[in-house]
Amino acid sequence: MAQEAIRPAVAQPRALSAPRPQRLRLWPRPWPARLDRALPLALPVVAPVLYLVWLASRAEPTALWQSLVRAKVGDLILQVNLLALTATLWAILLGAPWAWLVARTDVPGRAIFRWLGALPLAVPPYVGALCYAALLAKGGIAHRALADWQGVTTREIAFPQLIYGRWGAAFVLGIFGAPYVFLTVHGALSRLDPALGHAARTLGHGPWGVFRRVTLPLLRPALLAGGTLVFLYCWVDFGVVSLLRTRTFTTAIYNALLAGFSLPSAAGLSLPLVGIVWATLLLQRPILGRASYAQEGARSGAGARVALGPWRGPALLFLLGAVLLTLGLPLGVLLYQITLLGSAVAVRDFAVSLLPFVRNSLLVAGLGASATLGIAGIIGWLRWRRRGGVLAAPLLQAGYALPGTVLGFTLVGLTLTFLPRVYGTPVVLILAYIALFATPALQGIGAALATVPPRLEEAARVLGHGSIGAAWRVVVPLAGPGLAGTWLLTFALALREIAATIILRPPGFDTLPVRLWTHTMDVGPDPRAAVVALVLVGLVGLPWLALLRLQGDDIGT
Amino acid sequence: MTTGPVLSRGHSAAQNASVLVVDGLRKRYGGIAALDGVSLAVGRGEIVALLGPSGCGKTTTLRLLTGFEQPDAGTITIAGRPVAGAGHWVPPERRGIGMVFQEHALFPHLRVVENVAFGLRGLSRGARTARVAEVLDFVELGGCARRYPHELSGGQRQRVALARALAPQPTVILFDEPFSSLDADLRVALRAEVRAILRDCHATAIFVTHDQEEAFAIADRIAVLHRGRIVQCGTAEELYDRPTDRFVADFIGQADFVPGTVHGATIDTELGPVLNWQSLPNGAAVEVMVRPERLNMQPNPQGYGQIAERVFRGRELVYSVCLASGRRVHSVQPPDVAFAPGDRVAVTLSNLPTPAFRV
Repeated sequence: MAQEAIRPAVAQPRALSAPRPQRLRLWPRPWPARLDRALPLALPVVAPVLYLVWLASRAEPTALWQSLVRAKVGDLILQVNLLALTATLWAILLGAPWAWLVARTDVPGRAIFRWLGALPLAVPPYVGALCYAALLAKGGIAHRALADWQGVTTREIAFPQLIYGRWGAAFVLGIFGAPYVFLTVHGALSRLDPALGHAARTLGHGPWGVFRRVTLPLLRPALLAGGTLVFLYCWVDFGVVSLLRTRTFTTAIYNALLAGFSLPSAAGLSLPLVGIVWATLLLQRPILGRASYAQEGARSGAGARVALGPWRGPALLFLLGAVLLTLGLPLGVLLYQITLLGSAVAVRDFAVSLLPFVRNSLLVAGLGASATLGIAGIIGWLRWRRRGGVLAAPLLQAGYALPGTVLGFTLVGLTLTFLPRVYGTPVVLILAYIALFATPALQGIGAALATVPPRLEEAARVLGHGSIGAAWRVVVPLAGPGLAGTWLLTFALALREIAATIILRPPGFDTLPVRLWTHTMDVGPDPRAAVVALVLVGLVGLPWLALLRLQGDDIGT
Repeated sequence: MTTGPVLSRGHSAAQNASVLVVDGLRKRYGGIAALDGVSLAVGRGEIVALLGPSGCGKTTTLRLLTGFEQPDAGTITIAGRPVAGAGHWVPPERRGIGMVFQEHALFPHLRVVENVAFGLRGLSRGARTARVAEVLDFVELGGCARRYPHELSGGQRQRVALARALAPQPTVILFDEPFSSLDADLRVALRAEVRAILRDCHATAIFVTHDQEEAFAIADRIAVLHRGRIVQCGTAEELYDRPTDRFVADFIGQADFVPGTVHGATIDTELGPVLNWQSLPNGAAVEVMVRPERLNMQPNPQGYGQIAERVFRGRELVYSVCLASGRRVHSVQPPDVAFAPGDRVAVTLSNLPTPAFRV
């Protein structure tokens, strides 16, 4: 045996020879073999990015520069930055105390408030914008109520036009960003080991000292993660800012497209936007990485709650106010608007006329979610179980940093050039949803796979099942709820998508959000818009509710 | 326990034939050699432990045996069939290997019966049910068949994992630190139980462990792995009394090492002359292994040893003795032999042969 042992080793001197100092590898070892399988799947994301770079590189530099100057890009950056920072601060002020109160204190009704914390995600932010516009605009509900109360007409009483413009947009974006902060902070709080707090107490710190010296530092990654989500959302949002007539990069790009469909100038405007989004993502990566690290091996047990004492009343008032802002007022406005429409028959007839749009929405969102889940599923499985997809997985996530507006016009250019038959069909929308939602889908897949230890799959292999059989009999049943949740999440996101859809929708193929947007832009936030919005909220809300049931509170983070 | 052989496949062939042969196995991760030429042959019905500290290559060996990794060089043969290396490759599901995983890896979505039946493929429904019942009876878990894994105790889970691995009658069963997740008392009890079950069904088994007590308790033969190589393979007594490698001498049991010089048939050390039974060459500088139970002490005011420390261990007292050179050695004494720290003692080594290692 021993002599034989030498022979194969001699036959393969590569394995025997002393390890040579290895060059730094840019690619994991047999990279073409690993690449070829998964990389084509990342094409819906990679192609638009490459196309954007190509468009920008083809443009005359001076012309590009002039178009940027003409668009007052420097001013735009400052304006949008101010908008995003204001909204982020506002979202943290709403979301973080909310999370702390329900996770760590004895505030009354915390179970309900915990559930309500994630619920506003079911309301698309642009619906919120519509509601607050209807409520707070000049001549809106509040103005009319004030005039009625004074016994005068709205013309005779002054009312500040605050909702349209940057502050209004920041107000609405902050309210609808708050759930993201709530979820990340609440997640971090419930993962926080109560033993740490107990340790700090034994070391001589009071409840306030524990909060300041233990809880808050441990929450910092979550606050930053949640805040970054809101901040980025403000940069890429199209629905809210367009409805509230605020000029940002996305509306500027859209207007450039409307005004003569100038792809190069849209590309020029896209570059600073994409650059800022990517820079923010890169800057937050180390922070987010640590935040996710903190989840490992942590416990979910509940520690002792902080007794609020006389502060219970004010805390409850805060939560009620926050719920009023995120859910009560928007939904109340919608319902009130509908009563203005007149008879129930009128409402019903109008709702029925929306059915084709509902069908369109369900069709593209369903197909889009399924395609996204399929692609993310294959890449995720390769990545976490086969150490493959080394390029495809990160590339897929790059699509997250592509604002819907930018993705929309690059897909227009791409399909016109390479797939003219696809252009102007719902397939383009599905491609867009794959690119936009592959990242949350991949994260969902990763979380679902993480619930199934690889060892279980190996146990199935040893017991005589092939790799596909093992995946089918062990991974799918165990990760099933997670996979279903991922589909629902993608479905809900696709259902409410507007920025890319508004550019890519085929002629005569309006989805419900598109219908809502065009109606509101043309007519204003009138009662009919409220009907469309309510139908949309119902449609998006159902998968969200199912998702909340499936996954507890860890969605959207 | 039932009487019929639970592992009939392991019973039919010649008893002394090697069921598992590993030859010159090498595996690198990045630039680091995890396995650097491991060769091992396991006989039918034999229980072998792969023992070593963490990072020694135990887990890599196991993953190569199961087929979750491919070797860079070397071959693996199971029941005469090459399964890896030299152009052969058999995937894990077709190797006829059973495995008991660390933390058991029971399928949480399946009942005990379904877990045990998971590896029984190509059998009729009736045959499968009968086999599951037989194996569950064998591990004395017949009453828990309808339960889910989370409804079982740690010891029961361990036995389900064993039953699941035994059910398809594998050629070899591999154990990956199977007792590490259990508490100490249960661990001792289960070791004996698992050994009895393996014996009863004439199973060939390989245990991977970092716990020498466990290896001693369960294995016929122990292979000590160090830095990707098997440094010594033998019975527990061989490893303890006649380690052929300085690492093994240090790793197995407790030992001190005292420098010495070979003078013909003896080795001169601080503790007096020691028999040069290994025929080490004259003049060689060596280190002599000193097991604490081999070190005798007599009270002697002129002795060159001084008691530095005393630790009471219940059944024994462990003394740390400071020699004239300042070197410390340990001595185990019955609890009635009492020295106090500071006492001077004469230290001698019992004249049983003790190994020495070239430095």
